[in-house]
Amino acid sequence: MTSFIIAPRPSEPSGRDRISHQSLAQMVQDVLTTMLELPHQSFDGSPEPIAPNQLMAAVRISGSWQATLQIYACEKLARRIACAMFAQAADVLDDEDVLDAFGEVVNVIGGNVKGMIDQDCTLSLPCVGTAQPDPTPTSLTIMYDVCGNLLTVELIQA
Amino acid sequence: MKILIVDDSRAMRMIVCRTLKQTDFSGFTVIEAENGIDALNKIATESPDLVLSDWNMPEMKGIDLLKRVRDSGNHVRFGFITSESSLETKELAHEAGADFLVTKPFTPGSMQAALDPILT
Repeated sequence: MTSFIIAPRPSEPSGRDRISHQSLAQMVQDVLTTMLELPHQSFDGSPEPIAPNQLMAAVRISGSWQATLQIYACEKLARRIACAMFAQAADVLDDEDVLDAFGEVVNVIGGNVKGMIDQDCTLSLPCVGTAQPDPTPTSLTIMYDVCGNLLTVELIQA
Repeated sequence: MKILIVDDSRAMRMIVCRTLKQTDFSGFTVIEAENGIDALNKIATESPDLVLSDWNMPEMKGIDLLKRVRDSGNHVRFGFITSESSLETKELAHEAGADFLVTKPFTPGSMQAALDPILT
């Protein structure tokens, strides 16, 4: 399985400071496979602007290496992820459960990114809410089709 | 055996509990705490045999929880279940007296491997 990468910036850090699209894709895939056990495949289509009604979860890595990791999904997929994490039907989960589960997904991926960089950094708590248009260019964008819906993962190194 | 799971995410507490049930271990009961303060109270009142704590939590990080527990003279077995797998994190955990660290995402196998040395 190959992942999809969009517009790597020429100014990206190199060597041990760099998170490759393969390594980020592997982290996302590990979460989808091990933690969520959800069917998924890489999405090779063209990226579309993040719809304003999508959910976004983000963590910030700060310190000697800095980046923001953001994930986006429609409410239907976020609820499906929550069902997988809680092992419960959608109708018994409330909105807080959905946000909790979605935030934990970005928290786990972000922690793995921080571990790979292995520098003096701190990981923020996850922040979850409705997606807002963000003009900041991303260093990496990876997309997966998860249960027929798109999960977008963006890493912004800045 | 009584196991205290400490995580601010209810979803993650459920996953940890479910994964424990998928290991070969049996005969344990699970109690939960949603932050460090809650955990300190439950450690005092419930006397768990094992604490499984997240690292990155609001108000009190897992490492500070462990330090508070050890500073009080409590030597309960304590492990971290965290997405933060850096060498620095592992060294901090070890120096503070943690028994093990399991990296998220985890499997029943990785949980079993971490718990085997201290529960068998």
